[in-house]
Amino acid sequence: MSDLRFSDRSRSRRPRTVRLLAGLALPIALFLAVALAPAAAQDAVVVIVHADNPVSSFTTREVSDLFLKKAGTFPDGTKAVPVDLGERSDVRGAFSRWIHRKTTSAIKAYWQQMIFSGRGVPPPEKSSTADVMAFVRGQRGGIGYVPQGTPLSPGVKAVTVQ
Amino acid sequence: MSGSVYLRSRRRATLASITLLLLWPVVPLLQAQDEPAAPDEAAAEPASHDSDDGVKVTFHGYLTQAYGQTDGFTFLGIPEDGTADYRTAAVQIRADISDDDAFVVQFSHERFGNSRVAEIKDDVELDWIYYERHFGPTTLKVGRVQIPFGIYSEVRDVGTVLPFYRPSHNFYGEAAYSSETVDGIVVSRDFSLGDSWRLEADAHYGNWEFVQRDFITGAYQADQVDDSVGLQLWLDTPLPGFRVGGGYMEYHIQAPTGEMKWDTVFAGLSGEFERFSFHTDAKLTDIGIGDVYLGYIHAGVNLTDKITLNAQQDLFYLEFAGTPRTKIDDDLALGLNYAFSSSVVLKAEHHWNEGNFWLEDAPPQPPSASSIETRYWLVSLSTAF
Repeated sequence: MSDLRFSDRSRSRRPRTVRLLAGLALPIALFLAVALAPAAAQDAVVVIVHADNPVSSFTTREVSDLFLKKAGTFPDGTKAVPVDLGERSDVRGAFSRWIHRKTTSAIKAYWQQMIFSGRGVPPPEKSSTADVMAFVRGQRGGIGYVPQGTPLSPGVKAVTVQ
Repeated sequence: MSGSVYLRSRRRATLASITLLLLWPVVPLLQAQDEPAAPDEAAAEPASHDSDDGVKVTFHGYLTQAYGQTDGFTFLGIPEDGTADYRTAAVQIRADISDDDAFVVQFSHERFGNSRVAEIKDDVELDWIYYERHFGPTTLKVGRVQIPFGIYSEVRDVGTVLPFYRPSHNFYGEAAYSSETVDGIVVSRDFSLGDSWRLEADAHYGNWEFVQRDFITGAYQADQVDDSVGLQLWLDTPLPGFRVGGGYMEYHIQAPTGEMKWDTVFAGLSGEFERFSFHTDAKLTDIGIGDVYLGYIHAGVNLTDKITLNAQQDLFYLEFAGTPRTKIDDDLALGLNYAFSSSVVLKAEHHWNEGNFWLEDAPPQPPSASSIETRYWLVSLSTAF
């Protein structure tokens, strides 16, 4: 056991460099992080819904709430059933940055928090855009996303996201 | 039979009764697990299973294994010569019976190094067991349910979502002075307030077990808590990721010296953005003979998609009636996390601690003019599925 080390409360012996580090490291890192933040990816992704869904436009916040299950229904009352692409998908990465303003890893961490607090489970993940379109086509409340320029199959439509 | 042993037996009997009651509607689910999974869903979510009648059984789990060492006294079970007997783990089984009904069971395992808290804890414990029912935006949970209180209360052992090995030991307690669960009910409701404002409300009622340490003998003991009631509110703001919360909780501790009523109010702020995050919770507990002030502030910066720098200050003040407020514990932490993926996170953290409240082998010191300085560090690897 090392020697007892008592501190006078009025004069902390915590190293000055440590206090400086704690005080300066975060603001500097924050500045660098913001300065190096990547551009938005809204041009890379199209949000799709079932063709019978009357909705034609969303805000990014509304789409985010549907995919994070903070909102459960569309404006007409239809229950929303979101579907994601897999974690490693670049399209999902672009969608996460555009819609959620976070990385896919941060979204996965959000869902871990929901799962282990017993508050919910994430949307199903599909391995291809064809599977996403099939899922959305299969239920009136389906909502997903595909890469910009993807030919849309019958039964799904693109919506505007502002 | 000692009081605490009697209480534990009584608690187990109550739990067994709840378990039997709640397992009744789940028997068909257990049979359903033998049926093959739908290929599409099985590919998307390997740890889940759909039965033909729509029941979906999902398995989740987490594990954090750590190595810790201090430069002096044993801090929260971490000794001077180091320990790898330091981990948290859990397995969760969730059966979604329908869109509105679910049954959830979680078993947990936790090791605290050299801490004597192991004397009153089983290696594997029933963490949660509850039935969940949705009524529109309202959710009712009955059984052994996690207590919603603060930012991390419900996920305090899930290493992949925590900035450090554990959240603030002062605010949340660690194995003592708090509870993660209540044997009773939790009612939650979401209110959409328009313009991207959203209110999340949780109320709980029930009983739990209050673990505390005898500062003379060093042993831990568990007392029954009755009539625990609390309300928590979190407000989502139009700024995505920024939340403001607060709550109130009161409970009656059946201590050997008689019943004590404790009241707690808390407030919190949480900001989680693409490149940085901050979290703070602070609470004031009226313990009858004085007030306890506990809180922390955390800030984190994502230096890259995989590397996060975290800093946290964690504080504990005590103020007995008629005496000045005294700092009991002050823990400054710096840490660096490397996320191999969202499911595998490696953490290295260093703490500079002043205080003796959480030291288990230090001679008792009055909370007066001096405190003990302890440095400790932890390296941990967390995974979740």
